[in-house]
Amino acid sequence: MINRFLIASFPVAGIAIAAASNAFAVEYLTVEAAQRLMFPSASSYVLERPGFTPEQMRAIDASTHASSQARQFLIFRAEADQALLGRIYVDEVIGKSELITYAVAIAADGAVKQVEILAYRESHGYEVRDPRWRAQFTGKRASSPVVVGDDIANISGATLSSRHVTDGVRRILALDALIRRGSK
Amino acid sequence: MMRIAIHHARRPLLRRAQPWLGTRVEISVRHRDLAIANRAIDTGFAAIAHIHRSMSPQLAGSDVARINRAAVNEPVRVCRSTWQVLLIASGLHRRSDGLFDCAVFAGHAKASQRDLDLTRRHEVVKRRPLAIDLGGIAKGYAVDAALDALRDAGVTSGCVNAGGDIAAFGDEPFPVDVRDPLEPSVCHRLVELRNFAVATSSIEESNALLAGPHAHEVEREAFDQGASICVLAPRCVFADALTKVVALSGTATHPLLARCGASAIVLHSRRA
Repeated sequence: MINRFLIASFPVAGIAIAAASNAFAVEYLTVEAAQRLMFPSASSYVLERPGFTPEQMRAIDASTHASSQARQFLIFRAEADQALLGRIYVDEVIGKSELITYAVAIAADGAVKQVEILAYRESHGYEVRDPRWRAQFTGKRASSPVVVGDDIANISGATLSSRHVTDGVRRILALDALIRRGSK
Repeated sequence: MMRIAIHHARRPLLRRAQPWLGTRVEISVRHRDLAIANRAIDTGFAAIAHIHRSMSPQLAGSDVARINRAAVNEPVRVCRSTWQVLLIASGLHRRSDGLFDCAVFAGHAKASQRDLDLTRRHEVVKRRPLAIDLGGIAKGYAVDAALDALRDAGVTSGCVNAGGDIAAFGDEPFPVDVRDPLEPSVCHRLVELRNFAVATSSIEESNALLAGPHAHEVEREAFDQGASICVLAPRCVFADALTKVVALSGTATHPLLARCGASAIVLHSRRA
């Protein structure tokens, strides 16, 4: 398999076999698949609208040094027989050249249970902040929980920071604490 | 085309990603039973999470943070994984004549990885004030550990990608692309990866290491600043570490490559 690579060093033109497009996107999980994965014993996932005031949101953003760029920030209560198992937060962050949709599962006691990246779209240049570029992915969710994408190759050397997701999780933890205080 | 489609339908590819080790870690698995595939991915991420918690310098309780905080001559107990990574790092440091060095500046200009004494099993002692960063080598090790976990979980084939450090196993290959240093929005097919690992570093990343203890000893005329170095090796921990050895030695035929069963490819950022 690696016979091709016995030559130790050659210019890039030598292996210019396949060229990809400018935007690179992977859909890992639908929101529904993430729900089942994160709280498999739940019987329902109820959309929750906590109705934070703008002042509360500003205070959260300031105290966690993070903000959301989500087109749609979603909160679901995972329930089994009306008992709360925890919440699932679906958020979006913009990195240097990528848009990441991710879900955070927080148990009823406020502990982070799981973080899954749902989708990842990368572009080079300004497109990631352009709503038209982002709009092309809206509603692009397969009904199947499986993403069959053998045409999507792994990229070696694409070292991308997950700092924005980590910041986002910190912000969601603060929001979750606020919701849990409010529901007591 | 039809046969390929049917083939994929029988053995679907399940692909998930989580943020670990400061990057996006992606695990892909092929297996007929999706429940088994999902459980396998869970065990893969659990292996990665363990390495993140032991070796992330930012986590106060990690082995690496405790080593960095420890006083000179104070013994520090580390877990089995950290111990193995330190053993591998120590071997690479010796065999690369100090080019590979996970010590970072901490007040003593001459401090190097040699000053971290692996005194006895699972215990290390600093002989000089220094801090270590296992960064890339821990990432490569994490990829290997996750792949072992997938194998044990009984899936047909699997691939782990931690921010560009990639390894795959099984009877079906996983395609790996590499960015064109001349045109970063364009990718080229590097390899159809099967039972092997690959890692890529840019010269720019490696130059950041040159702020380290051996900056004065390194000649850097060989590669241009934007070049990328890909190393293919049987284990990802060696693939990642050897990208640094190639970058810092300025040669894609460093003898340590052959000793590790590895080979290097340099993608130049200037047209020949």
